[in-house]
Amino acid sequence: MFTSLYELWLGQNNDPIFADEIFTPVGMLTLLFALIVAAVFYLLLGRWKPVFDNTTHWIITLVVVAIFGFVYALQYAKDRTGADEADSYMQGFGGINALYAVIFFTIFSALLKRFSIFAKRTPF
Amino acid sequence: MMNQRIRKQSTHWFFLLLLVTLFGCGGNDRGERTERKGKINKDNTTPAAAPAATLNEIHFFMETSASMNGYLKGGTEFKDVVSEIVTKANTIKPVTIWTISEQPQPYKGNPAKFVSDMATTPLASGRSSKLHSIFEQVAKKAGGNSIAILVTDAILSFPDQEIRRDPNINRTDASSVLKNNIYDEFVRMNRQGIGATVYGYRSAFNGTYYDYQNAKQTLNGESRPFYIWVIGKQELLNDFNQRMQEMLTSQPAKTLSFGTGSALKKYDLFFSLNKKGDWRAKGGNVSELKTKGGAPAEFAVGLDLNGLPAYAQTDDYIRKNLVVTSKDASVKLANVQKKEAVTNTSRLSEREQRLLNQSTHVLTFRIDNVFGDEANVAVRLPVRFDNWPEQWSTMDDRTATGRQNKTFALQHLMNGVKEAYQSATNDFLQLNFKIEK
Amino acid sequence: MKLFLFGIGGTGARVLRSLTMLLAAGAKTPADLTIIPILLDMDMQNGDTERSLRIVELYRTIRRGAYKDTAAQGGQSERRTFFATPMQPLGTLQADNAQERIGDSILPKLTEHQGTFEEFLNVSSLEDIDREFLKLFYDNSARPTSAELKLNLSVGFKGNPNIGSVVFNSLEDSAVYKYFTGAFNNETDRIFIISSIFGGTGSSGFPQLVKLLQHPSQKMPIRNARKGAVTVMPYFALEENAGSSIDQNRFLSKTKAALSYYQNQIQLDALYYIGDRPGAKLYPNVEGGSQQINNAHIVEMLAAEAVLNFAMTGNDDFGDNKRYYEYALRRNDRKLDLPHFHDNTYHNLLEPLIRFSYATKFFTDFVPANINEAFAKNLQLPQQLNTNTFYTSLRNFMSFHYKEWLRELAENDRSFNPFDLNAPYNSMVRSRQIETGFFNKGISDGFLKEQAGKAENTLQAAYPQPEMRFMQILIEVAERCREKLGPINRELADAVV
Repeated sequence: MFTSLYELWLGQNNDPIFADEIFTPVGMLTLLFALIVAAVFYLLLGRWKPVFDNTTHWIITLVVVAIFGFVYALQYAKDRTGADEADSYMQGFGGINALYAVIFFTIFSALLKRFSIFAKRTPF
Repeated sequence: MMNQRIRKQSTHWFFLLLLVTLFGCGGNDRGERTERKGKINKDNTTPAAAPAATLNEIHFFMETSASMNGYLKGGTEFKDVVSEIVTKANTIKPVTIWTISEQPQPYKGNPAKFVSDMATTPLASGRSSKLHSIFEQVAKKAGGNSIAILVTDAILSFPDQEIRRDPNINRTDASSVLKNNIYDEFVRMNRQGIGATVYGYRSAFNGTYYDYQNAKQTLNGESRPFYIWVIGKQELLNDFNQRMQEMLTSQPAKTLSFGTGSALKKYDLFFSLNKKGDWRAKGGNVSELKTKGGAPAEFAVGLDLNGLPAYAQTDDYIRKNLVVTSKDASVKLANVQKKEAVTNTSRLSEREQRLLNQSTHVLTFRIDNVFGDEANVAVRLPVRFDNWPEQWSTMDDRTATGRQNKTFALQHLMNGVKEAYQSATNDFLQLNFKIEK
Repeated sequence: MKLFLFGIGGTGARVLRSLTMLLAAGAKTPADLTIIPILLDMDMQNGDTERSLRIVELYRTIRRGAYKDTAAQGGQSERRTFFATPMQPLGTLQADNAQERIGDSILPKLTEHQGTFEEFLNVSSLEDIDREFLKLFYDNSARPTSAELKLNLSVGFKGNPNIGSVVFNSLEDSAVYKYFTGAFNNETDRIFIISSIFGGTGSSGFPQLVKLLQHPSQKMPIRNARKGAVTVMPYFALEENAGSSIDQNRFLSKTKAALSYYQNQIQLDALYYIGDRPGAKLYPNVEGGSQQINNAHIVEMLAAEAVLNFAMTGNDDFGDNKRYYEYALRRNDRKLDLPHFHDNTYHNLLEPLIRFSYATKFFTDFVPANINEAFAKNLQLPQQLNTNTFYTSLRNFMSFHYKEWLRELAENDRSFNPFDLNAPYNSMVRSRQIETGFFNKGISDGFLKEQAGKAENTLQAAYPQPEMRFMQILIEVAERCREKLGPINRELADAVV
């Protein structure tokens, strides 16, 4: 599933390692990360105290998630391929993963916000 | 008011920090994966390799039963070969020397002394001994990080009293009783991951020769075979053989390896090297193959055949013996290349280059046709033993012509060993992959 | 139990104002109490009366939005503290014999008459001898300030009970009174009268009204009903104003005369007197009308407490034998704070006021500043706060009336100044500062966000109607703030004055 999500934007890489070993774990972990962060934001902090709950905080979190998506995808691809320098495909992969991280986080936000107390109207 | 603002901001930073910490954890488990990076391993069930064994010591065994005497008298190739092997093995790892007829006796002295002693002092004075029990003693020193070398004439024989009772027993029962004794011994070794390589040499023989009926004959410079067995853990053995063969000036006339372990299943499917046609490497399979215009597609796999005996690593052996079977496709071996022979590497990606470097051989296959949407392809490289032991074997050594350059019952000895190893593995290589349209 | 509360004149209106504040704050009342305020005043433009009218109107609007069932409390699951007691204008009650509607105002018209006292008496149609006789009783001199017969009745009686009693004599025939008798049907209902003893309208209307209520011609429920009254004696002094017909030098003598009259003529189940030595603060001397708008005074709040005390007194506690009670402060200071009051007042009135003050600060300060918090969005406050009648009424009540009332109490002499609504929450209650530390910020923005957020979250299911949910949140947040405040030290500090 993740493979087609990424290849939709990036096209196929000649090296099958992306489809075989990179896209799925990176996609899964990014999804999981977005879920965990959303859960922390909405269920843990969002039900605990009104300390990190407004739209500004949400955007900060979103940026963190996006940065994570980018860095994680790039590092993972570099590690797996053993490349010393990230090529343009990997950078594109990082960018797209950042985009998906943002999308995942937004979706989880929409799903989880109703269970929050202080953030149930964040960000919309 | 000011205070409140600062406090508020510090709360924000605290949560940022928390998120960053989460982040850091994600990084950790990448480190662990780095160790396995770059391996496309089709056979996921293969456990991660145990730390490679390193050779620590070498035990050198010299058979000293009376029948060995003839090799030591006068100027014989035997003495040259054995001296060289002891000396050169000693440069790899320290060599401990033993003499053996019934029980191994430690030789007091260093390899240099042994070499000079061999020229001057009569060493072979022991009683004739049963070959399989010699192997048993030698194998005890071949476990762990050690390698054992045995110098022997490799003549199978029943004990003296049995021959006296039935002079033809060696001839009639070698293929059953004696062969099975040998078989038992090597099966035991195989189970411990211990393999064996035989170097076959010939040497002039000056002394008493006992034929299969135990009748003494005096030979004068007659050419007789002798054998050097190298026994040890498979991975140590391959390395040791390679280094010895690089060093030896007196190369063996014949060699034969008995390997242990399962067939090699790991391969890397190259995604651009030697690629022809339109297909995509995916999970070690050829996928999304487009067959248009009838032009055949080609794909290449990289293999690390270092674990195979040298004869099985030759292009020739592979080309002759590799079996490609597929019910639903017609796939053929198109080319076999040693890694060094691959030249068109300038356009390979960094990772593909590394995959190539991990391989010793590149096998290129051609897909002429795929009948269904998907075809399973099986590639096997069967184990074929050299058949020189048949030529080096005789069942009647009473006459000079009958025993010329031949060893009594060698065939049965070798069959015993062969069967011991063949039961474990029939193929050097077993690859399975799919071709998908 | 319905309590028909007659407020006579400007004083009646001012006491009603304080009473409304106390009820809004959730002062202790019998659970089934409904108050029927009836202001009796000729002076329809009186500033005090006008203000009370508006406050009661706001109170009723808020209460309608805040609670599911606007009838008197009785076994509902919802918490009712603020605006708990229903207040209903007489005109909204069912009356048996109501030939004539009297409108929904709590200030029904006493008479259709407009004009001077002279015209009221129809002097022009009198025979000369009667006219001359009349002049023996009333000043008809050319001096406009003291010409009693020329007095325009639409501004009240200006401290002249001799005029008021004549006018109130016709009360029995008024539409208001007829409607009242029609609506009064229940044995448990009670009557209470607020009046001043030194003014014009109050001092004349009160004995007339009592006499009327006890008259044998009245129907039995009215005659048998428990009746009480509070009579406010002078507690303020007026500025010198030569142009005014109100003469404060006559306050005390008029009080004395009235008291001796009451002693023999007024028979009630409970009669409360309250007064105070006038403070240094002088009230402007105006004859009435929209300019008569006097600052709230602690005496009025305590007079309102008398109303509640009467309502709380059990039917059997009114003995046949006269008993006398006294109300006192714990120390005679000019500046009063929470510790000056004894337990009854403290628990019944002041504790509710503390909560209501927190609620006021929460609603007027915190809510607009945090309109984008989840709880506010869930209540649709960003859209509703400035448009929905409930919220605008509540803000009006709190910002303009409650805060003003507190300010007036604080600035008057005696001053009652327990709260500073402009101070941070932690020092809002003057007699107790909330201690803060690194981990405990007291009542901070964060604390309020947390309480409001959690309350909103838990109340969502039970109160789908946002206004009702908001009232419950308000009650809950005020309660949490009160808890945070901790116990109040009610020991009086050494006298400052």
